[in-house]
Amino acid sequence: MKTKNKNVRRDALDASNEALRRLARAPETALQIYEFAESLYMRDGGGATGQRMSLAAIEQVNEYLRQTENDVQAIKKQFQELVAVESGFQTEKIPIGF
Amino acid sequence: MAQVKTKILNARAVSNLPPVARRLIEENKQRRAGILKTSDNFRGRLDKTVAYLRWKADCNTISDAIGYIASELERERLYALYQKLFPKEWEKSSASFKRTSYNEYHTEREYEFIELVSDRYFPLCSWLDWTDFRFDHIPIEPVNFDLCCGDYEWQEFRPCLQFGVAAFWWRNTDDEDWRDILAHFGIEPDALPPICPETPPFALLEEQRGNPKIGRFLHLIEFIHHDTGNPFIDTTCCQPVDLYEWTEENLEKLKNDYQAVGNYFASMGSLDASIEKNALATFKELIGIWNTGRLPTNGRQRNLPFEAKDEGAGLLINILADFDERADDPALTL
Repeated sequence: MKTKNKNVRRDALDASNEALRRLARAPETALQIYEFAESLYMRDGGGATGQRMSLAAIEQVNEYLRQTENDVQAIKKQFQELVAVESGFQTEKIPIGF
Repeated sequence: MAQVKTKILNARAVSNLPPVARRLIEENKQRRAGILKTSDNFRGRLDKTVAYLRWKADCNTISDAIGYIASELERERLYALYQKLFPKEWEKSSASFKRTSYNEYHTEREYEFIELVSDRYFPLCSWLDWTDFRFDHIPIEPVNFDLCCGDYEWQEFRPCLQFGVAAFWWRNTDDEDWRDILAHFGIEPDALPPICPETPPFALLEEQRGNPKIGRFLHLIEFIHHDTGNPFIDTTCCQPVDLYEWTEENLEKLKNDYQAVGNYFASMGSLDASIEKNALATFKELIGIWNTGRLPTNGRQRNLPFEAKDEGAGLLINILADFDERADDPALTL
């Protein structure tokens, strides 16, 4: 029984480390998303018409957004689980941009 | 202790930004460099900065940013459809890609596309306020009455619907409206056979759909019951409807559906003509088809082949020909 509890604890810590590794990569994705949003905002602001997107390109970006949204949800969930495991976390002090 | 379950994150989401997005980001960097060199006056730069900060404040989480991109992609989708479906108009267009203070939901260019679809494909919903809302799906304009929840006087209907709605929808031939409707056509209630309270034998009728007289009856019944499979006829405000995304396939499908609406109005036009010619005989025929699934026969015709008894087929052909001549007129009157 004791060994089983130890295994559970080790699995939880491994998962926590993995979650932290993924959280560390999240800013790169977030930065790209922010830059892309800003490029769309700025695009027509100056009155420039520019080349519009094709339907295929729109689908590509939509698929990218879907993947990113799924990842965001997964990271949020992992983060919440991590908080439950690591009792010292103060979520309000961690500005992860969600 | 909480059991932590992890999933493998999709690594592509981190690195594989689509090429079009990377191009736009690069263009934006160059634009930013250009803006720094512009000779805008202080007020101009300040206005732009304030607008940018307002936008930034609304877009300060990753979910907000994704939502903004998704909404802009919907705008791009309309532009792409405009270019594909109306290339000549797109080339000539000088409508801007900006939103105005009068309409913060659509750009002038989007409006132009919406008007083209409405003029050349099918009417888009006109009673909704396009300046106050952005539609995620194609808002079509139904051509039918909402007989379930709408409040209508029978006088608002065309002749075949005046009779058909009372006889086959309400199936209450004991009320004042029913007597008024029959009186309007100069018919005594006792002159008509009773209407079977059950639904008609649809399987039998379906086999005879090719017969114009059965076909026009089926069209009337399907129209009244919003059971045609055609969204322009079946859609009402109080029942779930198919939502059509802004895609080329859906626009073409809806265009064909709207053209098919004409068949139902041709059938009802044929019935109206028969009612005008002989209301009593037409109503007896409709009730007979409802009750038995077959055209009523008189004694002399009883043993004749089915096709030989169909005196009204020629009439329908004439009416359809008339309808084709008027097909350019988009106004479909009920």
